[in-house]
Amino acid sequence: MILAPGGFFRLKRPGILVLGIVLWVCPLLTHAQQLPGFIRVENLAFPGVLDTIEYRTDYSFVLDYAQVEPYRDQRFTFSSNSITEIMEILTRNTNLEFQLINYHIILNEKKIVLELPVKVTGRVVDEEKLPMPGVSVYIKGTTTGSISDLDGNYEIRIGDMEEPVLVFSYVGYETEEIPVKQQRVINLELKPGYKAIDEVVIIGYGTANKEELTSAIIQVDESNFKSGPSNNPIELIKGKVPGLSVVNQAGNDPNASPQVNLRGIGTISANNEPLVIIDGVYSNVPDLYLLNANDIESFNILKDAASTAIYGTRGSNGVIIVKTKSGKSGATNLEYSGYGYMEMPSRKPEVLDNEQYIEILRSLGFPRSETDKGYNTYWFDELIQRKPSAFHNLSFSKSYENSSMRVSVGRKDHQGIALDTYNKTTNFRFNYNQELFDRVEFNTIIGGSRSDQRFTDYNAFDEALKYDPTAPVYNEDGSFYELPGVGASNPVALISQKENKAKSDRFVGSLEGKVEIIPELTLSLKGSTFLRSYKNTFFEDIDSRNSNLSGISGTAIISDEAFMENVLESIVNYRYSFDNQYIKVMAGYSFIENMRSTTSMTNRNFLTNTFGTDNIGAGSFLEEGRASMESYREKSRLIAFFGRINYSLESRYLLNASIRREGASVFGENNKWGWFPSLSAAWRISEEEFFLNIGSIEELKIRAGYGITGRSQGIPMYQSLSRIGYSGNSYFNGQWIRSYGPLENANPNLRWERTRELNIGTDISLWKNRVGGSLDVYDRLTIDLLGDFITQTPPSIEPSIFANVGTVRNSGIEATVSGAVVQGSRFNFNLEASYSWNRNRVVSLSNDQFQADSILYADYGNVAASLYMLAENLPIGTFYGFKCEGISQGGDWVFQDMNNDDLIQEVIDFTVLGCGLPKHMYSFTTNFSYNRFYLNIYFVGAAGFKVFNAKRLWYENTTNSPSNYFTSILDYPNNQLDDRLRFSDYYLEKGDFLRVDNIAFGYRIQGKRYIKSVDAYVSATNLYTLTAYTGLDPEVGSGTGDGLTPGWDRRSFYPRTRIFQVGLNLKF
Amino acid sequence: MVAYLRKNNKDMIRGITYFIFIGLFGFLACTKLDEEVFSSVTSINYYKSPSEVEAAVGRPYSHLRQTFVFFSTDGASVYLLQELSTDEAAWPQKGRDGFDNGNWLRLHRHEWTVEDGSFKYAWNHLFKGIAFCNVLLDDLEKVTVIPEEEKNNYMAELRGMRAFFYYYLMDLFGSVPIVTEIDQFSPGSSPRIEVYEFIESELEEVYDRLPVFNRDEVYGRFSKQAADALLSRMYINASVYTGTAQYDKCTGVCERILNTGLFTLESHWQRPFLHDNYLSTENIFVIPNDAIYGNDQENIFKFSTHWAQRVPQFRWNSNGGYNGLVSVREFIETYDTLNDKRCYFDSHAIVRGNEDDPDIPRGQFMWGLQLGINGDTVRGTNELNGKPLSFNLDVPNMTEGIENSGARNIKYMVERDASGFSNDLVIFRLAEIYFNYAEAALRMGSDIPAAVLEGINHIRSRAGVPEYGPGDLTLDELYDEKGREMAYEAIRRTDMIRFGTYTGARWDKSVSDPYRTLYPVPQTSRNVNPNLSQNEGYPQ
Repeated sequence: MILAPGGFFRLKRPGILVLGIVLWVCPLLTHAQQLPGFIRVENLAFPGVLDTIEYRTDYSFVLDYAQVEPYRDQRFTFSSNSITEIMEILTRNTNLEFQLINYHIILNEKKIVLELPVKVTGRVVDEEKLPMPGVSVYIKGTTTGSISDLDGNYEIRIGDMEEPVLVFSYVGYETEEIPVKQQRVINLELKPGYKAIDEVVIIGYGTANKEELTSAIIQVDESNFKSGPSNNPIELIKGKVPGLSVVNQAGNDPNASPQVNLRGIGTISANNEPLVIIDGVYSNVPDLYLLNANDIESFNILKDAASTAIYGTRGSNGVIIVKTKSGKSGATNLEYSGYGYMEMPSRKPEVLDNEQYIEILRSLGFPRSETDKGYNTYWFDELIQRKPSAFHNLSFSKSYENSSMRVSVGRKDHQGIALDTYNKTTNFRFNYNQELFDRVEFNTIIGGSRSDQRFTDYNAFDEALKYDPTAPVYNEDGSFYELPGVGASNPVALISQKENKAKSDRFVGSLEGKVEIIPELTLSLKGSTFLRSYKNTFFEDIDSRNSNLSGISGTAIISDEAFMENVLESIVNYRYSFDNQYIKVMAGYSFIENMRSTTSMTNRNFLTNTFGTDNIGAGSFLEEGRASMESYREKSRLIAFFGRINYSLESRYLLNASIRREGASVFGENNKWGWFPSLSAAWRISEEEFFLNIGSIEELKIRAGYGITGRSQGIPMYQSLSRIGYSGNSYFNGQWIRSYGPLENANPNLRWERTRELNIGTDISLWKNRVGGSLDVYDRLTIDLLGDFITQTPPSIEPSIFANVGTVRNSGIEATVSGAVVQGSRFNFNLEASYSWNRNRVVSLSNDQFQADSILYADYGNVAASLYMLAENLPIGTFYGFKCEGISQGGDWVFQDMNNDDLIQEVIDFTVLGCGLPKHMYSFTTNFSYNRFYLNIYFVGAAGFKVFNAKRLWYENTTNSPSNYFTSILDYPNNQLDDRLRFSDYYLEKGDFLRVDNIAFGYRIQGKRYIKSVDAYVSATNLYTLTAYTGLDPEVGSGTGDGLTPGWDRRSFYPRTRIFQVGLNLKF
Repeated sequence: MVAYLRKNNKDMIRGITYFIFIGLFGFLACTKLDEEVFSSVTSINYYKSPSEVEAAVGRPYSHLRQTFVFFSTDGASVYLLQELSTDEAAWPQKGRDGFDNGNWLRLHRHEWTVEDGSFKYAWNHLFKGIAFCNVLLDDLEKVTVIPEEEKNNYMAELRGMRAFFYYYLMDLFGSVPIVTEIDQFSPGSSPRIEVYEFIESELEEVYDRLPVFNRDEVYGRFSKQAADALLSRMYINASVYTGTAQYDKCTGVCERILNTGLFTLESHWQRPFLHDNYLSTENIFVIPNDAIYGNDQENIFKFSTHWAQRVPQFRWNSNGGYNGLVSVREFIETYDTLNDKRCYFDSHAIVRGNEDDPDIPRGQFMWGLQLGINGDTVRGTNELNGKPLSFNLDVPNMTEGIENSGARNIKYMVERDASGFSNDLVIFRLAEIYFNYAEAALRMGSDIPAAVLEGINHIRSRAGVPEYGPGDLTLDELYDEKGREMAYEAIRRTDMIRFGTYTGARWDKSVSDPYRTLYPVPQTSRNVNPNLSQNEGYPQ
């Protein structure tokens, strides 16, 4: 059998039946194109000629009937004894070509070498035949693209491409691929689809199609953001990415930044926060305030070392790349989105009221006459304000033939639930893209934000728990009531008599130029600058309690911070494809310089409150020589060379290797530079031939990656230098002089923490992408942990040195599943779930220079020598203390005597009590839509951890007196307790929870002419939490800064809130 | 226009490409990672002027002030280690406060362990002082901005200060490593006697170059007289430190101080401790304090005062006291509580208008009702919430007191209306020299010289108690009188050990093992330096 390209067809004529015989009997005539005799035809039609040839010669035809069909009416007159000549005549005026193989004449359509249209135009409509603006149209395999305009019309330049294919994509619709051929006009109706197939994911220094990925990278785009108001934009992806933990310890405090960490706690003193990159500009989670949520197109989370090794010493914590919207997403678009919301505390502390309090204090020996102040104040409520918050955003984008732009302005007025707290932020962002001379492209981004904040005092909420409920807020003269003596402070006064404010400006500007030297080789150069100025002003009133007690009337503090980051990066990209393989090579250089300077000044003793901090010289401390003034400046540099190779064979076997050579000034002299390699590979099983028949599996990929990354975030500067600085005064020669001496032990060996990570994962997508999922298993070992380790004294100056010691292992599983459960014309139901499990273990806390088996930390003063322990084979965040066996008849603690020596001693009788880090984290989203209505419900939860309820320890024990208490003190066995405050597992509770994080209900319509779409919705955030935890909320995070104290529900807090929101999005 | 450019853009493209290549490779050259320091200096660019040298020589002194009386809930300074394990001071738990990981309890009962933070704190800070001296001695070798003579004098003074730090290490911990170089890692411990000899020989070697005490210029610095006073303390304790008594050497150095005529006893017992004690003629070596320039030792006043006493009582603009340290009744009763002016402190003394009333007794121990500066009652906040604060002379035991338990010591009475603590902390004063001289004489079996007995009788009479006749001043009496006179001066532990009373039973403490006369080498230090040996009796 001889196969012809394309479908083939045998002429159903007798001649063809001899095909096999002819082949067999005439082997010698293989090259004899000369026929035995002349064939003459006169005015014979095409099929007739073919018949004649088959009849008169040994040749037979192999052809596709349909291809011949158009020429069946052509008539021929010729005489020839050359088969070649005959066939040339036959095909002269056709689009056919012939091929002679043995005695077969294969007739085929000619390869189209047609004059292609220079440009294609058309109109895209949706399933309701309504025009679809903003549909992205691009030529497959290139970056040439366009966007449909308001009326769904698009226009795209083709250039001189062979077989161009247009790709139409729009979020929420199936992506269509249409070969252009000769068509000049392509009109199209897009069908709603579950997921766009061609997702372009942003990776380190570049982009990749989702199917090309070989490592654990997750993209969350706008359509999948968490609904409800977000304080920091990172909250848009809370729970959406398995392994990424986003916890706002302080509830919805407008001025708090959430704690973000990826794949567990991998460090004991460096910073756990992922590297955040906004449009190529290096940033961090707090500086995401630069953006308003509406400007964000997608978050791309690089989780494993194979993908983050390209970021070297900043890769271990994971990398979050934020892409903002640009002019591409709409030809001319004007968009408004706004919402308003109200908050209320989700759970209130239950403390004793007037009568209960008097009764308890009476039992403690304080007579009613001394106790009762005659009021019944619920202090918690006095600290709560109920003010609406509002958010507005307006954006405009337009694209022109060679350029596109988008500009947006946003305004957030977030009123905190705590008295007098707010955050008012205005953002703007301008993206501009210009193409020049076909080969050059410029991208400019200018963005900025200005925030005006007022902070609260979390201690006030602790004071509200313990403050005398019989006391009034105000005296009769309107001044704040204060208890006599120096005890607790009136919580309301504590907040109201302090004004702690900040004004901050952030600015980013970047310019990128790309040149295409040859189509395969592009060069880009990018420079950016990020500026942040932060000014904090603090004023404590002259009549505040603190002022009265200290006899110093009023305190004013002004502090400034200026930060600048300059980045210059150049990247060369080369791409080469041959046959069914391609190779992509990237190489680059990066230069980052950071500068930070701070100043601060303090003055006290003011005559009036009127000036606040606006006339800081007016305080008398300046003349008295007791005012203070400080300034500081630092500068650091990071320089890197990096490169990556991607190789793809038949889009089936994918290989990715990258390497980075990086140095940073903060490292010790002996360790300035390091190598960070990675290697990963993927096998797209679904592309294999044997798999083609399994129709339900659209995509099945297995990937594995290994890489070495570093963690340098949080390394204080200058630790490797022996610095001399001012350290207090000495009395010398009859006068006070400033003394200078060495500031710390220098560590010239200081280096980044190193993480080695293996990640194995799989991605699957079924039934035309209706169901998709991925599973990742990782094992990451962090060595050279940074920390303050004990060093030899003598001879060292300080007993500890900031050094690299110890090892921590994190291993875990992450999974996501999403599916379009019901896909109807009216009713749709989508479900999405994510789950992660992480196992954290300290492997070692020693090296040849420093040794420790365990480190006890979090000294809790009178209550406990320590709350936590770091020890080999235990997770970070392990609670370590007494094991409580109960409360004795006499009301004393009964703790387990661990060494059976009949003595209960701190540390000696301590034991492991549990861990404050959740093992399991999960979330699921359900999206329902019916016609134009939609309902999204989002659940989030965590399990497998303990929470230390410190509030209970303090306010469920009457030996802590005088104080107000929780009403739970009235219950057994708390009412029996008569022993001092001590930490034990009595106050450790299971923290497992499931939270109905957000419910959004909305109505969305597509407009016709001036308004393209309207989306109106209501939503409720933090609606309900299912938990056995008795405190206010079990989601207390991983402690401050270093993340070493997870699961500690502290006394001072910011109340978590329930939020009710109304919003409107309009597109014009 | 665009079309035109497109046709003629080859040069431009070349230009842009060229530009980007320059950008790319121009910056490739930049691989400099040296750190630039702005707000501090490195040792390479320091020591540029004589005043920079002075500032560096001042560092061991400011360190001494910052650490000598400091404490945390998990750390005790030299001062507290010298006081809290003795009979004159205790830090009991009072209600919910004062437990502080049990550190103070264990110090009082002599039940401390090698893991206690208290020792770590004192050990590290004494060696930090030594490290500062070592760094400086090394640096000064290379310094050329000051004359050789001056440089050698500074180096002598620094070696004197180093010996001073070593003295406390030897006294508290016994055998410690002798480290004189900055990079002497993993040093082994030297026996106590070698440390003693090291200190003695160092002081002898540098003696001639040390400055002579002078209130205007050599105040608060390690002078010849400070060296003599230190030697006098060493020699009187020599039998404890080395097993060999050195009483004649002790009288010798005491005489050397007395003969200078630089110091005289004050007429009021409290003059050497008041806020203007820089004027005191009695003090030989002090750690200077100043409300503005060096307010680091106010803890000594705050250790025992109640937080409610801060403003109402003293109108002192600082945070309140810690309500921690109390004076046990048994110790107070060694005073003639009715007559000894050093004893009872009547709170009426601080009421405005009463300051100059000579009839109101004012000593150093506060008990009874506490009044504010305007005569109002100071009130409690915990168990005595809102009730008058009246310090109770009796403390039930180390764990069951309440907020008003125990008398309080305010030997270092803060200045009224002050903004900070300006009293200089006395390390050596003339009174001790008299006591050392007398004790050495008594122990040698010789008579106490008349001038010395006269000095001690001056101390007696200014306290309002009878003078000693010939033969009255026995060793036991001297022990008691020195205890009364030098209470809370960080010397009690040393004295009790010498007199063999340290490990005895007393209030809420039973007899402890003899090895408790030395504190243990902190385990944290031994963990990182296996060459450090542990004192006998402690887990090795």
